[in-house]
Amino acid sequence: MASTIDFTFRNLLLQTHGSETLSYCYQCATCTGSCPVSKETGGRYNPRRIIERSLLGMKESLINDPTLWLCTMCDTCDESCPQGVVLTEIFTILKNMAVKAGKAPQRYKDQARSVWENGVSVPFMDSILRRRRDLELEEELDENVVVPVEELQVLMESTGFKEIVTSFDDNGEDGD
Amino acid sequence: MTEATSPQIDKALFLGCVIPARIPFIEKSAKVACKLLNIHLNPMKGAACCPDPIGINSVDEKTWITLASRNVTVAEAMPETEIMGLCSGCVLSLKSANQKLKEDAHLRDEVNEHLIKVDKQFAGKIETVRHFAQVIHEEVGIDRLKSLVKHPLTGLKVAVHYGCHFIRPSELIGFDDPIQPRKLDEIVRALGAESVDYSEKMLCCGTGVANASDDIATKMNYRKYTSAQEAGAECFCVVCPSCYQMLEGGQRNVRKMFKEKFSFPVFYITDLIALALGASSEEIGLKYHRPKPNKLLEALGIE
Ligand code: SF4
Ligand code: SF4
Repeated sequence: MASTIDFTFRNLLLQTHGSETLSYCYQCATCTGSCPVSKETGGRYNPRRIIERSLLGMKESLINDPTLWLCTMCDTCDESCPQGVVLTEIFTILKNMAVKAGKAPQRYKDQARSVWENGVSVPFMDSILRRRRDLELEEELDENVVVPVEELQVLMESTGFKEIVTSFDDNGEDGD
Repeated sequence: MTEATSPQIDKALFLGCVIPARIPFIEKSAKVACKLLNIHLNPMKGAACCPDPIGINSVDEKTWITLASRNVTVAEAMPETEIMGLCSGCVLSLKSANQKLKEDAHLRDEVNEHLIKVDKQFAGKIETVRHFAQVIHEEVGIDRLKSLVKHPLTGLKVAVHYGCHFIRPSELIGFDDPIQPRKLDEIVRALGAESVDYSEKMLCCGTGVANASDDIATKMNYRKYTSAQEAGAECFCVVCPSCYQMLEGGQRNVRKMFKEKFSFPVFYITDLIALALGASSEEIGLKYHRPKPNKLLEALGIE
């Protein structure tokens, strides 16, 4: 198991906007106690442990940990933490790092690719267009839901999203 | 007492993608309900993916906030000063962008550097972003909603499901108590229905974890259905399309995994409001729900 302590990583986390609260954690485990996924997995998923390893700067262990992706993002832990640690912000930063290392579950990759290609997560399909006509919603369709894909792609190229999506093809590896 | 006496409420409408492209009958019931409540909706033309505050934010936060900000700029070019969404996730994304960019000049500059490439700039003109149900509670108000009910849903036992992002993070959403909310229950009760108290009321629908593990989501759904059943609920009421799809589809998954059959129709809050205000089930496409709510509608005397 990769347990190297990476102080640069720890400092990077502490300096990233949104995760300043990391250092307030005193390991009381209220987060884990409030977490529905921890309950359902008998503690296999453990938000307190992720925070602890973040404080210790255990970068490799964290970004390679598939349980990082088990958080259902319900924000219950954030609301319950007595120290005001915004755990989900820290998890987001960790997941963004894991993605760059090719470690996202397939569904995240597929959704990202759909947004890159179609400008939306969920594109229209013929059966739904028929259903919209049945519901007398068709006349609104053209003007409301035409997605300016090219404009969005300019933005996604600018933010580096295109590069991320393209990297999925290169390593093809599934972090799941 | 007629809809004409309701003051007009004007909103820029952000539809998102799941509702129009997968469950358009929810878009329909929302539009019918808004008409009956004199909420005037101006569609945000050229808006795109919100994007998903779980899926896309987890992949790249900068892209998430940039695309969400772009959507806000679409509304800034419209006469309305507020955005209304039908989906808790959409509202979270757009509201996060609107608020974070107003508060953080550095972030605004960073996002605007991307947006300028497509001739857009975030100016901070949109006052706020609200969910449909929040608009009902805060702007229509419970008393006026009650006074508009033509067909009370008397006797309908509803398991209210808040989901997560409708109320959390509370610092951002600022609507209801994040752990023990009550405002959606108040809306449901104003329509004449009963909001059943069930022990797993606050349990997440599991959409987020399903992205990585269907099994965990199904186990969570099972826990939720069991608790709603024990409390005597006949149906769910939701405010988010992800919750809608999970709580409908979860019943099939639970049947496979646990060999146990639940049969809860899932209503969107827009459905219940439209019905109570006099719409027909045909008009709002209730035939597309699975399981179908026919028996419950019969008991209510609704066509
Ligand atoms: S609840 Fe807060 S302080 Fe306690 S362990 Fe979790 S993150 Fe740390
Ligand atoms: S946000 Fe994630 S870690 Fe926090 S309580 Fe919800 S599932 Fe657990």
